This record gives sequence, C-alpha cells and structure tokens, in this order.
Amino acid sequence: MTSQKRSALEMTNSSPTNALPIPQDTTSRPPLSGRQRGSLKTLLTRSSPFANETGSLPIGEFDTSNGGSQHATSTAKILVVGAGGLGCEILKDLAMSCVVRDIVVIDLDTIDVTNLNRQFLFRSKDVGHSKAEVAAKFINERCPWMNVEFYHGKIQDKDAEFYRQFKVVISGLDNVEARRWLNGMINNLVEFDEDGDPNPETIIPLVDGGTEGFSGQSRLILPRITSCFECSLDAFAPTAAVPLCTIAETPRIPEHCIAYAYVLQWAKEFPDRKLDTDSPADMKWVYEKALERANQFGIGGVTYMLTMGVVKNIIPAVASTNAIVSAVCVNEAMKVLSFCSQSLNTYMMYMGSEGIHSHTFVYEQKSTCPVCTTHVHRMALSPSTTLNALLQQLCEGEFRLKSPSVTSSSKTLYMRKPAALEKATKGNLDKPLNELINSGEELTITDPVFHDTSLQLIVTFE
Amino acid sequence: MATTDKYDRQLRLWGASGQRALGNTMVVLLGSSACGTETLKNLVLPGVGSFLVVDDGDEASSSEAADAAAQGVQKCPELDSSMLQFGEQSSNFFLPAPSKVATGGDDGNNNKKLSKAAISCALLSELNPDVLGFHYTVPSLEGLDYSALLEKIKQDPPSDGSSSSATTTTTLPQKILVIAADQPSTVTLPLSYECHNRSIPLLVVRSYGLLGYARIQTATPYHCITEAKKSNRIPDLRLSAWPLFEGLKNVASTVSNLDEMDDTKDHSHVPFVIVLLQALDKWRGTVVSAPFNPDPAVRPRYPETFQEKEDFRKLVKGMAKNLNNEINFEESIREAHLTWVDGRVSDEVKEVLDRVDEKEFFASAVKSEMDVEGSATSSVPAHVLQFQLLALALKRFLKQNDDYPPLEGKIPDMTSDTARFVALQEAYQKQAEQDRATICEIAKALLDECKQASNGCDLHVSIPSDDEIVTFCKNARYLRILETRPLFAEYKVQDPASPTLSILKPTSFENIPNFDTIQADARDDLQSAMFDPYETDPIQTPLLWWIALRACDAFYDRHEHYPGKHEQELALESDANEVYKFMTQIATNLGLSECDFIKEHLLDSSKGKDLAREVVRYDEAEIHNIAAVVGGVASQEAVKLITGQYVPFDDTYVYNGIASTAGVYRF
Ligand SMILES: [Zn+2]
Repeated sequence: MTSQKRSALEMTNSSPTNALPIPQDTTSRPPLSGRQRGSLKTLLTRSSPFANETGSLPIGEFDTSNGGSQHATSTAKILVVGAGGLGCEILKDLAMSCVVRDIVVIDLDTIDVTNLNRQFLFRSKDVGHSKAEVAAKFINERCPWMNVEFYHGKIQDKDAEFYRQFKVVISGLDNVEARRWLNGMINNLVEFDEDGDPNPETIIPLVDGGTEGFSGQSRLILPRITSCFECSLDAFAPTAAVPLCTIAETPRIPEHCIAYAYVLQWAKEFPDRKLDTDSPADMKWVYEKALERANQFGIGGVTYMLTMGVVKNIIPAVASTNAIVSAVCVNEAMKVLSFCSQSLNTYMMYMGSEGIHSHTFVYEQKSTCPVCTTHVHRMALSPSTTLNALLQQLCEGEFRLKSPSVTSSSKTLYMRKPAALEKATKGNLDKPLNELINSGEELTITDPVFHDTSLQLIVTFE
Repeated sequence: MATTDKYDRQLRLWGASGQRALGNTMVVLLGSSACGTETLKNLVLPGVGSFLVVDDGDEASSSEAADAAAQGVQKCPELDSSMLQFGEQSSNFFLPAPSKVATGGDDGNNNKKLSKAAISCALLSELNPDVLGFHYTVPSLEGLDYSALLEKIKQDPPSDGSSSSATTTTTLPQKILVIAADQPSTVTLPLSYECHNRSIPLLVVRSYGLLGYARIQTATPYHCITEAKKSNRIPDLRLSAWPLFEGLKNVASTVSNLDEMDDTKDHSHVPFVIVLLQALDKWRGTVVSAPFNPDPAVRPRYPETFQEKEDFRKLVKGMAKNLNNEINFEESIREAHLTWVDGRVSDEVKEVLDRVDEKEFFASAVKSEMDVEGSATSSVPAHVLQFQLLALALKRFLKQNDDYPPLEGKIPDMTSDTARFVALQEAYQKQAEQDRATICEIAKALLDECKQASNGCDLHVSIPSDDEIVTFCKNARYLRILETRPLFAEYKVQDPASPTLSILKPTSFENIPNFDTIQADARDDLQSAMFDPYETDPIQTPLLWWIALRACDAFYDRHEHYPGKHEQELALESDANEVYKFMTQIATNLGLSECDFIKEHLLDSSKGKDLAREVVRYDEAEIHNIAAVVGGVASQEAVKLITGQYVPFDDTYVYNGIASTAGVYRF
C-alpha cells in the first residue's frame, strides 16, 4: 500500500503539467468502443420468445418480416402532453429511439429559472418563452430526423378530432386535474360495436408518468381495457387544509403564519387584486407579513423559501427521478407501437429515498369508475334535499367533481353552459329534489373535469 | 419568477449542505455511452463541481487517440454549431453517430478530429455553466493504468486554471466519484480494485438490450449516512424517559388539572403531550399492582400489555369533555403510543456504533511520519474520521444517558393555543441544545485524548462545525453506514474460471475486510429474494435476467465479443446454448441451484433457454430508454453517495424493460 502511494507521488512530481503518463496497453485488441452494439432496430428485426403477445397484457402480435414494426413506428404520430420535467425527457427519449419521427407536444407554461435544474432543453436565455416551442425547436435542431410540432396552450383547447390522430399519448403532467381531463378524453375516444365490445382501432394507449422528489410512477392505460387514471383518484388525495380558525387564532408553526398572510391579510389589504405568486414584490409582501406575525407569536422558521413553498405548493423536483419515470414511459410507448416486447401490466411505482423500492403490479379497474366503466351509481337522499345540495355532495364526495351539470331522462335540471341555459335552469338549484324528479329516476351528470364523460346516478328518496 | 435560484426545487430535498457537497465533487466517467452520458447529465444539471470524461479513441484513429492521450487531461473544447446538430440518428443525446464524430469540428487544421470524450464533454458542459468539464482520450480503456489515473486525479485534480493548485488551500479537498459505463469486465474489475484501494466510490452502470443495472461499490471503509431522511420519523418526545427532562416537567406543571378546567376553549387547546402526561399519572393511580411511589429515582409503571394500553386509551377518551369538538383529545388517542414508545437508540444504530472503536480511531486520526510530507492522507478519509469522531462521542453519551440519544428538539404540530405550543417547543429545543453541547464536549475530550496519544503529531480530524454537530444530533436515531463488497471480489465468486481475473494479482483477493460476512449475508438475502418473485409473471423477476446478463459477461471474457453478433439463426442458437451454460454455472456459483424458483425458471432448460435466447437477440443493443432509466437511477444514487443524505441501495439495482420490473439484490 505504502510503496504504491510512493510511486504515484513520484509520478506526480515528475509531471508538473496535467499530462498523464501514456498507459501501457497490454492487449493487442482494438479499442472497445470500436465494437458495434445493436440498437432498437436490431430488436425490431429479430424475433423474441418474449414478444408482446406472450406477456400478461398482450396488445398486439410482433412481426419481424419486412421490417414490419419499424414501418409502424416510423409512421406513427405521437402526442407528448407537457414539456416540463418529464416532457423534456420524453421528447429526448423519443428522438433517441431512432424509430419514430412525428410528434406533437402541448404545454401552456413558460420557462422559469427554477426549471433549469432538470428541464435540460432550456437555457437561461429561454426564461419567459413557451416551453413547448423551445423544447420542440431544440429537438428538431439537434435531431434533424425528428419532426416535432408544438402547441403552446391548454390541452382542453383541443377536441376529440385532434386527439384521435395519435397512435399513442404520453403524459408528463404535474397536476391531477389535467391528468383527469386527458384520461377522460382518451377513454371517450373508444367506440363500441353492436356487441358492446370496444373497437381496437379506437383504443389509444395512454402512458402516464408522475414524480415527487425521489419518488414517481409510470403506468400504461389501455382505455376501457385496463384501469384508468380516474380509477386511482383516491391515491392522489388532496392534502387536508389547516382549519381557518387555527390560522386566525392559534398559529403554531411557520406555515400557519404564511397562510395567514396570503389567505387573510392579502384579501383584506388588496381586495381587488389576486396575489401574483410569480411576482417577487407580491411574494416579498407575503413573506414580510408572515414574518411579522410569527415574531408576534414567538414562532420561528419563516423564510422566503418556505413562504414560496407554502404559497405555490411547490413539489421538490430533481433531474434523476424525471429521467427514470420518463424513460419507463417511453419504453412502454415503443413497445405498444412495435410489439417488440411485453407491456407493463399496468403500474410501476418507484420510491428512491431509502434504498430503492420498486413495485410493478396490476392496478385493478375500479368497478364503479365513472370514466372507464358504465357503472350506474346509486344515492339515497331525503326528498327535501335541494338540487344544489346534491351538486355540493358530488363535488365534495368520492367523485371530486368541479362544476357538474345535471339532466334527467325528461328534462335539463341544471346546465352551466351556455349562459342562457344556465340562466334558465338556475332556478332549480334551490328546489327540493322531489319537485324535480321521481324517486329511482336516473340522472346524467356531466363535468368538464373528465371531458365528456357522464356519470349515471339513480337517486332514491329515503 | 419570484426566485432567481435555479436550484430551488432540489434544495428543498438536500439543502445547502447537500448542494455544497455536490459542488465539491468531481465525477469521473469512464465510457461515453448513452448510459454514461445520461448518468452524467443528471449530475451536471443539479450542479456537480466538475467532471472528467475518459474514453478511448476510434479504431480508425488510434494514432490520433495516442496523440490525444499524450496531451493528458484537456479542458472542455469550444462549442461549435456543428456539435449541436447531429446529422445521423444517434441513441446518445450527447454524442453523435460515429460518422459524425469522424467529420467533427476542427482545431486550426481541418484533419484534426475531436474525440468522443471531447464532444460529449462539450455537450454536457453546455447544460450548466456552473460546472467545469474535462476530457481525456486514451488508446484503450482496457489495459489502462487505473492506479496511475486515479492517483493522478486525486493528487492533482484538473482545474480551469483560474486558480492554480497552490492557492486553493482554502477550499476543501475535492471528493471523487467514478462511474464506469457499459464497460466489460476487463475494465470494471481492475477499476473496481483500484477504487477499492483508494477509498473512491464507484458506480458501474450498464444498459444491455431491454435490460440494465447499476451497481454501487462504496468507498472504504464504508459510506456514512448522517441524514437518512427517513419518512415517518417517530416524534422524539421522551414521554417514557424517566425522569422527564426538566424543561418538559416545567411546561407540564403550568397546566392545571384538566378535569378541573372549566373553560371549554382552554380545555380543547391543551396540547396532546400534556394530556398524555396527565393521563399517565391518572392511569398509574388505577393500577393496583404498582401503587404510586413518590421516590423519583424509581421508574414508575407505563402501559405495557395490550389490555393496559387499551385501558389507557379509554381513560384518555374519558377525559374529553366533548370528543367531537376536541381535536386535541382526538390527537391524544391517536398518538397514545408515544406515551410508552421507547426513545432509546435502535439496534440498527447500535450496529453502526459497534463498527467504531476508539483505539482504531486514535490510530487512523494521527498523521504518521510517513505521510506528513506531501499527501497528508490517511487510509481513512477525513469525512469518515469526522463521522467516527461524532459516533464515538455518541457512544459515550449513550453510556451516560441510559442509551437515550441527544434529543432531536423538534415537535410535531399539534392542536394547541399558541403560547403553550411555543413554550413546549422551546423546552424541547433547549434540552436539545444542552445535549448537543454535551456531545461537543465529549468530541473535544476525545480529540484531546487522541492528541495526547499522538506524540505531538497533527491529526487528520478536527472538531466539526456547529452545523455539522446539529445535523448529527438531530439524526442520531437514524445513523446508518453502508458497506458493499468490492465488485472484483464478487465477480470471482460468480465466475471463478473467467480469464479476466488473471489481470488482477492473486493477492488482490486477500484481506478484503468483512468480505465473508457480507458475502454470507448476501447469500441469505438472495435466497429469501426467491420467495418474492414478480407475481404477475415470475419469469420477469429481475434477478433471473441479471444472471443472464452476467452470463453475457462470461461469454465476452472468453470470446472478446458479446453474444448475438452474427444474425444467422444457427449462430444465434449456438450463442444461446453457450450463454445458457454460463447461466446455470453462475446460478450454481451463487448457491442458488437448490432453490425451487431457480430450478423451475432457469435450470429447467425449456424455460431458462428462452432467457438466453432473449439476451442473445440483443447483440448488446444500446437502447436509449434503458440507458436513461439506469442513468436516472445511478445519478440519484450518486447524489446520495456524494451528500451523505438518504440511503443508497445495497448494492445492485436491476431493471427489466421487458415487463418493466425492477429489483435490488446483492449477488
Ligand atoms: Zn377508470
């Protein structure tokens, strides 16, 4: 050990520059990198004992003849939803697969400086520009074999016709509401034949990824065949809010003081202006007020960073987790396009804080899922319950609706849009149900939260 | 934007100290394959200090590679626009396809080509201006003198020249992490040996068709984890420590008897900590077997049996005036277990502490005459000595304190009025500060003793900063160390007949501390892993596929190429037969041949051979998605190894991209 160290030191001393001694090459072999490695194309042309049809979730048959599957991938149009942490990775992964070409990417966001630690298609000069546009441009420039189109806007701006053109949809969204809407849309595209079986041509696989800190998940959704995003809504439960009275009367931790400043004090001070969480001036105001309140109560720990975190509900994000989840998603997309290997069945969880816990399992379809099943829900209510109270219940209960509209078999009970219809049906809101429907009548509930999906509900009177 | 810090989203995970550790690290990447550049990308983005890409030249230009090698480590080349646009399809986002490399940028004269290491260095550097990139091209990574390479990097790390090495005395010694990407055993084994000898952590990453793995080799003697960042930490309330610490007793005494409290609002705002303490007194009064003893030296009774615990909860419930409106009582019932939970250190922490010894520490902390001139290194790295010093202080502290570690000093949020909550918090904080001061004193005493034994020599270790002591004490209940077996030694177990082993001196395999113990543990783990197959489709259990991959290594060791090179049906089948033969040998060498699971899915040739056929099909394919998964996993582990935060896996992560299953094993 010591003599080894010695000789190394002598070497250092005798070479004052950064030059390393030329290592002795003891082999006569050519350098390793000269070796030709296979590629995804190799896999597409060689048969496999583990082709897609052999797996536990068979989707299609693998065909190596005439470069068959390569034709399928190169002509397929792929939708990437989100050009953020996951989106940047997904676009790169697709380009580097070398077997696809046509992509559309959608994102409504613009680039923020806090994106730069992981959204690697953006540089500081891009801050403030459209994520979708800059990402598409980056990929098209570095990878001339790609054709990435972009849309800078909301996914809700696009109609069924738009979504129908894709062979696979990969979603890298960071919020539950957008994921619900997209899931509803893709599920709704499925058409059924006379026997009630889904027409395979209309099933567009949806690959969905999500991350939080060192954890994440990837899943494959085959609309109307596997479970869908809505089936797992309970796993994305909103965090319980701190009661207002605690914030107002008995604050204990810095978060309570921050909530006081941005919920109560802001509204009082600026009744006509919404807090702009992207404005340094606004955020500084909140921070200072929170600090003031904390000092008054002897509570420590209010910092600007924490204020930002609480107000914007910031979820920590790192490059590594995004890379893992995205690559798993794109790997699934490649397989459902080419059938060159088996498919993920259906959910992969990744937890990286304490070692790595990884779990792949079949996420079962929820038999009462309003999006991917035709289940008719039942509710027993007092006949004097108002229509408004019923709608309230639909928003706060397991369905977590946002703005439901209701029709019965015979008439429209309440419609949010268009305005004229809203005006005409508004009067029903305060009426008790027994004035509007009969016990046991089936209602159809629609809500923009999951696109055009409707929920069938039979209300019986107690 | 309301913050200008581009690292905001990650600072929320590893904080300023983690970020400093990252910035103080140089990552050395051997091999610029997609798996390697993807790993590095995820370290350059969050701001690792610097990186060095080492790769060999192209076959065609081996003379140029030799020229480049003679020039040694180079600074990142200037970006030119041709680098930013790949002409042909590539599966590596930071390296164009070979033909592009051959016609790459020029350097004054047009026939000068940039090497793979140079181009990937430039494209990776472009991601983050905070990070310094270097590259080094060698004739071949096989046969490279890794001893000289690592020693050189350790002694004289490349710098950007803005500060000469003579004036960098104020900066901390730079840490090194080595990553070997997609390298055969002829590279990984000697590298693993040299890293092991120099206490340098090593990550071996591999993407192979639809399969991939990452292997961690920790730096010797072990990787220290001060901040395990465990989720679901149990609040350190010390309700079952007797006697209660002074501060807590004082706050508790300010609250009058709950049963006599008339003000309902007040009653519903007494924090659960105090409710539980009062309930405990009350409960003791009801226990006939242990009548109240006023002597404070005698530890009183706590609920022990299931029945006693149930009775206690019932008693708490009975103390509420109106349970529906008293959230503090709801919390008291929910958190009742904190009344009797043992606050002493766990067996896991004791195991960690068993690994540190005062005598050994004294020996390694003293600078010997030998290394005074020059290197000033000890065989135990400085950060490990620092960890050992605090661990030894903790050991003495535990002895004095009935195995109770320093108080964490943080209480969970709980329903309470502000004043009582703040007072409670202050009491815990104050006691924690006191405990920290004690730890600090013990550490100082240890250093003094060490000095006295050192015959006037300097020490490799000094008293840690206040921040470090705070962090250590707050996390004392969750201290961990991780020690893996060196890869080269593990390989010998798996494929003892491999010709590659002859590169290493036979003496290399002697004196690997703890190898046999860890090896025996690993065997047990692996056997029990057999009982946890991927249920949906057992053949997709990752560990079977790892054996198939190791068989491909065995194939390479004998043929100097990987299986599946020739596309003809007969050639593929013949390769599959040979790979399958290696698979059965490796399974046997791993001690798995008697496991039913292995018998059924691998040793049964009708099934096992399909695994071989599949890996032969791959022709060692580089598939970007797999490279990116492995690169993501490896970079996440690298952050853990660099920061000492979170817990790295032990020691091999395997990803199976066929059915998207993954597992962590020790082979
Ligand atoms: Zn569903």
